[in-house]
Amino acid sequence: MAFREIDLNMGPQHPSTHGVLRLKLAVDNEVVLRVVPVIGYLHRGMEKLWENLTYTQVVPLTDRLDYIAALSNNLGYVLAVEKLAGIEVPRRARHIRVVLAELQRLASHLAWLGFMANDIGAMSVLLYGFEAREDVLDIFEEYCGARLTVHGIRIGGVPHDLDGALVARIRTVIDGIPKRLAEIRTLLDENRIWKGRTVGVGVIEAGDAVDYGLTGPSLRASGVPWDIRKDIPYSSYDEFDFEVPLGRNGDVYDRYFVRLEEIYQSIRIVRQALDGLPAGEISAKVPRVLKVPPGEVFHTIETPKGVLGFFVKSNGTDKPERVKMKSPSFINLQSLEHMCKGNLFSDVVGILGSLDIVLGEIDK
Amino acid sequence: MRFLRMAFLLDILQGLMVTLRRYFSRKVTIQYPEQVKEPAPRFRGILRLHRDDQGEPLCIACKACQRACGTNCFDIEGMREEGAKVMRPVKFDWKLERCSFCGFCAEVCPTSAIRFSREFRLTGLDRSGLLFHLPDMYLAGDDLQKHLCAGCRRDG
Repeated sequence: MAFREIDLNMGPQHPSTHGVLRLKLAVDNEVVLRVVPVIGYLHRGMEKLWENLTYTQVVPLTDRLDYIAALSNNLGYVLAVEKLAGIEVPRRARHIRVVLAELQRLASHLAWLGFMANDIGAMSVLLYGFEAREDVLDIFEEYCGARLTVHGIRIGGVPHDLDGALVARIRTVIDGIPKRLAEIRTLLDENRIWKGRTVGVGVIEAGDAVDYGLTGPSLRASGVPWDIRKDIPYSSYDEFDFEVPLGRNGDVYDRYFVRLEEIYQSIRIVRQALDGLPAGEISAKVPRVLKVPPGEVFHTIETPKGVLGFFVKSNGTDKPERVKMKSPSFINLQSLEHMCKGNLFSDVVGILGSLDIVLGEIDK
Repeated sequence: MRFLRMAFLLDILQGLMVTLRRYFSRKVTIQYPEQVKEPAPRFRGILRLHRDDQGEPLCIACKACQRACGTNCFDIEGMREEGAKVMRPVKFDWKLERCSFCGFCAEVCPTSAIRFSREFRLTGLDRSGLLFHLPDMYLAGDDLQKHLCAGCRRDG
């Protein structure tokens, strides 16, 4: 058959683009030649909006960026502001933050597992993954009153203390997750359909991954040991003992395994943080009208999606002059074309799913 | 071994065992309108004003919530009556459609007059139900639902 290039639109309303993302595909029969992501359908002008709000009022809006892992966004912004304002956070607050951030990582990875398997066609994994995630969200509801847009971290500390009942509840939930994961792994790990759709699909070499600026579990699946929690520790991650799981081949199957292993490591961190929960204050003394001394700061953290960076510039008033966000999903999305080129059209869905993007964060 | 696994579809059968076991396990779905899951004690539902034990309103119209709010939900005006010790609000407009349920207003309130309730049903048919004046801020339960859903026709 003669070479025939067809342009194909996927999205913006498509069940497997995880939001309102449009992909312009150029295909030759079943083979993908080019992928151009068209973004901006969810743009709300967040960065401009923040310039008109005080430092504290920005925090609830960061929930709306990566709404699958809202708390990690809170943490990224709050740490940047604290660094600029020179606020010393009490040790107990730092431990509670780690507990919450790792629970959020659990919730995000479990949701990813469900979406990803659903994209490839395993419907039951979506239900089982979401059932496990539900328990984690219930903890957030118990802790701060909301499940998704949590607003669970304040500048200077955390809004509530972790009391005994809640600690016990967190322990039961994280003890139950490995059993649920074992169930999901029986469905997926050795399944020939799952392996056929993921092994050797969407490969990205370590060098290319670094060149494209890929971060997070997708980068580690290519075998690059880069985890901000380990390499540039923030909060109190340097006090805990955990491993950074690495993949070898950089295909969709490895990205699945790296995220699975990260769930186990997160459980390990939460256990250690709960065991060693120090006594003390849960928040530093922060003036009601927070005025930050003039200056600039850039701070990065490791969110479930990748490396999230916040650049904050202050001019000495109670409102930031500029907040720039380096969002992981946005940067991870640009390597999509490299992964999809030469693969089959039906694999685009799986590769896009394996990148774990959230459109709220891409479009800001 | 590998050949046996492939030939007898062991991987698929193992997976089917999991789903079969799930078929007989306890159901976790909550059938919403009939069954309702109680929200947590700290649940951030719709905001309500409160009165003290004597029935006096707690709000002193200090406008701390108005200043703390990042989305301009509030429009408050206070007045001190002749001989009264504290200010009372004469106008207290709250716009539900602007609220992001962040909780700053409840945190800064010096008299704990404004608090979150655990009401999560916030549906209405027209925008008039989303604007709350001073008396509407004390509504709860069925009265609150009637206010929210003022445009709804309930003749069924």
